[in-house]
Amino acid sequence: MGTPYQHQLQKPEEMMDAAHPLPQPNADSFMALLELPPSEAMELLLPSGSSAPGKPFIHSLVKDEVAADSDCSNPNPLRSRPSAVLGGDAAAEAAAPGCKRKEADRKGKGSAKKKKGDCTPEGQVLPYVHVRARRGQATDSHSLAERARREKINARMKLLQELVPGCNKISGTALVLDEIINHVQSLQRQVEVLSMKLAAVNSWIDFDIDGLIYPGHGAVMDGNFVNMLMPTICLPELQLSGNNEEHFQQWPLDSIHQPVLPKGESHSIYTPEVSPLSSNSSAD
Amino acid sequence: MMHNPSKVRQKIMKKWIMGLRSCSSSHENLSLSERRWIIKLSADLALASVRNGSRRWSRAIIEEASRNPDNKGLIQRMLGSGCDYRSPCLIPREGRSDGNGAGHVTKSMWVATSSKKIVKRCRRARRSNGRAPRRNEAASIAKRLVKKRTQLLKDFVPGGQDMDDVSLIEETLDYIVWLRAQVDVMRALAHSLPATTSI
Repeated sequence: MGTPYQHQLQKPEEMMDAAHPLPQPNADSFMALLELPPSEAMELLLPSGSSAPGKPFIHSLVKDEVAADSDCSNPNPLRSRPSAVLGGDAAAEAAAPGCKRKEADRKGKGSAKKKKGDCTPEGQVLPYVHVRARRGQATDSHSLAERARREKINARMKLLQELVPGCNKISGTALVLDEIINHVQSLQRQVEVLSMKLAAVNSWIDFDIDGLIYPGHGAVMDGNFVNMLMPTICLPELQLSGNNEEHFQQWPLDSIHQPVLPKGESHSIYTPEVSPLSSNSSAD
Repeated sequence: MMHNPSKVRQKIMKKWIMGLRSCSSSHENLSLSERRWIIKLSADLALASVRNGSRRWSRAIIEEASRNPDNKGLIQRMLGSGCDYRSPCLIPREGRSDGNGAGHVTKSMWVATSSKKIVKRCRRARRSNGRAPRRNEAASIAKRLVKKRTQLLKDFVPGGQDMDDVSLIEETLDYIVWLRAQVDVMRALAHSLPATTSI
């Protein structure tokens, strides 16, 4: 029981180190954590006051001795909040695997049915939802963990679908993965093509930059190079800063089919150089 | 994931050009393919270093590049001898930084993931005993398709081989976003340079 969960523990730890330094339960205290009443356990796992009580998260949590059916009003439907999970709320994300694990362990000892609701007898509102085991579904710890994992994966996949152009309409994991793979491939291919284009630039000013900065060093340097250099170096930064949002959002439409010229490029002296390149490549 | 895209791109561009500059001394004599190699490698390293090793794919890029001894000089010049990605908070808990940066990170992560795999295999074996034959064909076919594509995706995302599904998707998400930034940067430079060709 220890090994896989320990690794899960470490991953949210990685995320959390960026956000909140927090004393994480290690293997020894993990067992002690199980004995704690849930409210105290939650306090340990969550940084104080950082998680909004109202936010629902995917959680399976059983409170055999704590939660009473009658006390729980307003059972929340199972909801996933992928943006919250992936975004800034690392603390709650860290809490999620921890609580899941705790619940999974209790499952083994406790009852088969899980309570639904988000309150304890003490009247605290806990920032996660309990999941009711659906009819006909197994409630052992493995299936529970498996189901939670699958839901996590589905949430991430939805994000990916939004990110990759053209994936929204596709249903079915395999096809969505196809699109994602194609997209990654095309991006990597674009990197290759661009490096080829850049390599073919004859007057590779950047390489000779030191020759320009320390005059007298390099080969054939004249005034023209200096004039061309400054706009060259400044320009990319201008283009990058000026167009970021639009350029970025053009991705879904244009980048796949044709290279997009940056907007506002007024002095484009760029000429396509495909043919010399293709004849050149064989020489190497 | 990426809070300020334009700033990020500027950082990548700066680091990349720094890397290219550091190679400028030998450039007259390089062949086209060598130049292309340097351009791409420095772009990849710039991306990985701006991402600062907080993601598995960025560390994997640096690790893979480090395996080729020819790249050592460029890596050291671009990332420094105390590489960013080796900062203590980014090293997996099992390992310590003992100066053997890239190799050590790999080893400890390999240990972590291989033990993960063993446990996974045991769980799967345990569970598959009770599987009822009523699982329909379609589901198993779909599963197989997804598995094949997952394996493919692992090949494309740097460092993807040892990841589990959840991390793979997260890494892919992050990787795509930052890879796009790299392409933007490279394209901006390619379009702004006077593109007289060498023949």
